[in-house]
Amino acid sequence: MSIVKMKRLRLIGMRAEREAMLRQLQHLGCVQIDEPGDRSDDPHWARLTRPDTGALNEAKDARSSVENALKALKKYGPKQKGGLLTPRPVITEGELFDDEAYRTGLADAGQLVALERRISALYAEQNKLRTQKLALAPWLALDIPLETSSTAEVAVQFGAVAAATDLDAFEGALGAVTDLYELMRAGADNELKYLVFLCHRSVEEDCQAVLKEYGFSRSALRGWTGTAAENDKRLDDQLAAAAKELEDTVARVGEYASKKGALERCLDRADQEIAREEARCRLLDSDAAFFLEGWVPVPDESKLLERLGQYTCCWETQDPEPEDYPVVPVKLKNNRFTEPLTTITEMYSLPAYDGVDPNGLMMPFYVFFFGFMFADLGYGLILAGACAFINWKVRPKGGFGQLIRLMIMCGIASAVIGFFTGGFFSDFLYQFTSMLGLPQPVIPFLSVPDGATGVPGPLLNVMGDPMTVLVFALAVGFVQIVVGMIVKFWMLCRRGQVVDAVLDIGTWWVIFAGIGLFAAGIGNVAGYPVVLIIGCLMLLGQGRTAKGFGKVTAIIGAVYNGVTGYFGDILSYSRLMVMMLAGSVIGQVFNILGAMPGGGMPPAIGIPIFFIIFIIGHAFNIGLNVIGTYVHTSRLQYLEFFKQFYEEGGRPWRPLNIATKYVDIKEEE
Amino acid sequence: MTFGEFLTQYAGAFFGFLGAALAAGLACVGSAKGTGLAGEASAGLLAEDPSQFSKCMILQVIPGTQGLYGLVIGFLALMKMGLFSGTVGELTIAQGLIVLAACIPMALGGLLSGIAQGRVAAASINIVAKNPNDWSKGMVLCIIVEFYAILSLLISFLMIMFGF
Repeated sequence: MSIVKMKRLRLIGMRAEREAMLRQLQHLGCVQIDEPGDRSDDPHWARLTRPDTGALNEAKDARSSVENALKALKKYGPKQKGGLLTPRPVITEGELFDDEAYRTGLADAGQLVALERRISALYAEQNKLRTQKLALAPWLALDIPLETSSTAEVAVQFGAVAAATDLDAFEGALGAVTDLYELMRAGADNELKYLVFLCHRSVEEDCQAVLKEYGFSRSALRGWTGTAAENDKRLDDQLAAAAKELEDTVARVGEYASKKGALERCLDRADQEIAREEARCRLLDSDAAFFLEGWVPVPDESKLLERLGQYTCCWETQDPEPEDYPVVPVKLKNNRFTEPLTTITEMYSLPAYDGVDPNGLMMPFYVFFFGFMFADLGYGLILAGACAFINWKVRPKGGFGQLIRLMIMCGIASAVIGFFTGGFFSDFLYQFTSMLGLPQPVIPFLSVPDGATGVPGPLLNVMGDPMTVLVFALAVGFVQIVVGMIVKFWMLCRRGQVVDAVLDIGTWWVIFAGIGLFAAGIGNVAGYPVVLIIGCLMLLGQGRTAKGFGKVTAIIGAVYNGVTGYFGDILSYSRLMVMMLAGSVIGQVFNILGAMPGGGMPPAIGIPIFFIIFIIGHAFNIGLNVIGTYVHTSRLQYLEFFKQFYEEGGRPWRPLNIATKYVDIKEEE
Repeated sequence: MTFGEFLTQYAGAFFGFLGAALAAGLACVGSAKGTGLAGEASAGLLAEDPSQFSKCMILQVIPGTQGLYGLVIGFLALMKMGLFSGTVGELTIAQGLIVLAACIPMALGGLLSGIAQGRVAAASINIVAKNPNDWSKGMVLCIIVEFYAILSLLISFLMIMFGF
């Protein structure tokens, strides 16, 4: 629940030991290696060089090869079992960094990539062959070889005329010119009729004129030998061979299916290599030594220094100066209950290094607001149960894992609040029992039929009495805003700006208290409570930094912004009631829709119909409400709560560590 | 039957039905346009990258809620008018007009917010295309628009439930 203190680490070590040291740092995962500061003015520093990037590029190549191999496997391999709910395998660090397995994996990946290339080439070849077959199709009926060419005596032309041409008239026109010709009809398609025209050289010119008149255009049939049918047969054989080879190649890809796990491990390994090599590229080298600059969290310092003792190196650690704060990485330290809120904080922005970790402050409000908007015993249990199942089964990591764990808490809160506000799948109990003509069960808070005595009713009834719920929502909002102001007050005091704290924030508390007393009619100076007047006088302090007439505008500005700001912020909390109501109303409508057709029928038919509509409708309502509630709860934190105190802009903590995607690393010492 | 008698007999129910019809009808039009816009954009992306289907579908569904809200309000209006209990004929003109007025926020809010949300959803498809991991931010942007449909739902609900 706080921001971890960092120290700047500067270290000089021997290049001979560098690889081992970096591996050790990656194993520890507690050092973020930064670009070294600019010291190029100093000739000693300027002589230092950057490490070569060869190994980094190699690791990146390896990664993309494995990635492509996995893609090929996914595309051409057999369907893999399991989906999102398959847990990741747990392996030791030694297994992850097993060089033998890595080499084997890379070799497999290389073969898979080659197979994939072959598959692409085969597809391209098939396309080419099919195109050729299409080009031959009109000439299939022709029994002369396609390479037949003109001789000294006879001119030969392959060509085509438009499909609408009357070939008999064409031949007639040619016949009128000469007898020394032959027009062979090869075939036709929708657009053209394909012909071969032969004539004696002596009449070629006369015939040419007729050909032109009938729109005869020559076809290019270069490169073919033999008749069209022979060529077609050859193409068919080639196509069949290509199809066979394609099938074999795809089958060979499929043989690698069992190696998917190994390849994924390989990908994870490559990512670790890349991370380490990237860190190495941020070092500075002399001939025999290297210089490392980075950050280490104070709690990990002793552990790190103890490990560094095994190497020939010297180091110093130093607390950051205030002017360094913008570049200090921010790591949040949280317990089990506040850690899931990190995903919400990160989506906004990490706090500044000298700011406040909002997770702990936000957690009770977040969970309560979510529970209040989603308030329903049934919905809450479903949400909490589903998320708990995913968390147990998949052990999700990172932001998604945090979200899942947050939703477990929010689901439980929804169930509890839903119980006290009488929501169980909206008004399922009432609708279902009245459909069957049964009396409504009596359950304290949750289900209290009209006229039942001796049982407490719902604490808040959003459907029957929305005004009370609205007032309650605004009151809760007011509490959150005051908490935010207290935090700001504390932050200012911590920096010694006590006067600012009292005048900027304390004033408003006094005014709030005064308004409260005024509303209650307590205290009096000429009709207004003293407190309110003191508050207004203190407001004059708002003009303390301005000069001259600026004082007046500063005060007016402060009053205007303060009044509209706090007023608007508090009103914004009405969404707590709105979302609660919307969820209940929609749920109720689905219950009524289910009960209506079921009402007039015997229970044996009515109950199944009811539950079909019930399940579809409420599934929809849950989905819609989870998304909506999540967004609105987050929004209340970001816009209304954070506005009061939050200082953002922290740089995320990205240590050199082992971060895997497909496997989990077994904790071992 | 004089015109006055005609009005007393039918106008109450007519205005009530008109309100319910507008709330459900216009809100559904809004959702249809909204989901349509998002669907067109999704189809463009899916042609390139079919694996983003689930994200596109969620974004497309979001502007669909206005239609549901409109249906809820229309349904509640019909219930209030006594359609299901058979007392719809007894509705006075004043009551009918109240139902009509109460349905207006949902009708307009549903129509316009559905279209606006559809445009945000369609634009958010770009996020899915370029940065699939950041798509949830597009969803957040869509839900901001959703809030105004919910407010319309709320005020219509309050007017119908407590109007008479």
